[in-house]
Amino acid sequence: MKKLLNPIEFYNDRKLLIANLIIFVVGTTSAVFLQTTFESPIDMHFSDKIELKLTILGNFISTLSLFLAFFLAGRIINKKTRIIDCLNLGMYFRIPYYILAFINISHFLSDEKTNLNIKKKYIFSENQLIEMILAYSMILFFIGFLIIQGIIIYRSFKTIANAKKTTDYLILVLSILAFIIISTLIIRNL
Amino acid sequence: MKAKLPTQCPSCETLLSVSQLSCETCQTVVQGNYPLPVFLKLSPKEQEFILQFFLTSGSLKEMASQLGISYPTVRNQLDDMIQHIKDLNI
Repeated sequence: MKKLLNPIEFYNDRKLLIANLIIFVVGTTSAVFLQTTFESPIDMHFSDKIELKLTILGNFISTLSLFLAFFLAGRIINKKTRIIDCLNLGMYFRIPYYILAFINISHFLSDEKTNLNIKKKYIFSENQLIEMILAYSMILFFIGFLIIQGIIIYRSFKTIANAKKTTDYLILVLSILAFIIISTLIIRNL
Repeated sequence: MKAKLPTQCPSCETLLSVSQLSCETCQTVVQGNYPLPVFLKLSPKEQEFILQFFLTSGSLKEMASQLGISYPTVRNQLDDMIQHIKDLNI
């Protein structure tokens, strides 16, 4: 578990980069087949009509912006921060999103269907109780998911930039927020 | 059992200094007030790190592979030690 939450502390940087690159390619390909689009580094959507270019570029820009956010914050805090470690963290951070895309393996989720349900004013239909339990389970799952993502960033950034102070993490948060906004604007204007 | 050299005062935690040295062969005793060398002021873990660093000819990458950890982890340990030695006012 410790290794999963901070692989950069334990694994060789080059081996990790190769593994991350393979997962990046496989993840992007599976996202195309699972009709997933990425509008920012922390965002994903399912759509009935997806553009191949948007999914691939969306994932690429999301990963690149995360890398830049870590690298910028890392260099401000510690001049010895390396590109390869930031790239590894940026790519590793995206892996859970590729796994999450498998929720849509039977293609039953899409933004269009959700919008239709909202317009019809029913999200919970016949089996209301089961659907409510499912919905709340999903909410809990996403909260847990976000906490784990936070732990991964906290621990890994500590390793890549030797961050210790609260101000170090404040710089990181600001950098991530800035790059999320920039990448969202770029992807939406593609 | 190998006795561990105490470097800190158990009462006030100030760094100790050497006040007596003796020869095990002829029992000659030398008394005085000598400060501890820098290396001995470090923790056993830090001393072990320096020894490893020396034995790998200063290669952090080789140290990392021997210890089974990554390069940035070893580099951080080294940076922390450098800061610790600077804080000792040497």
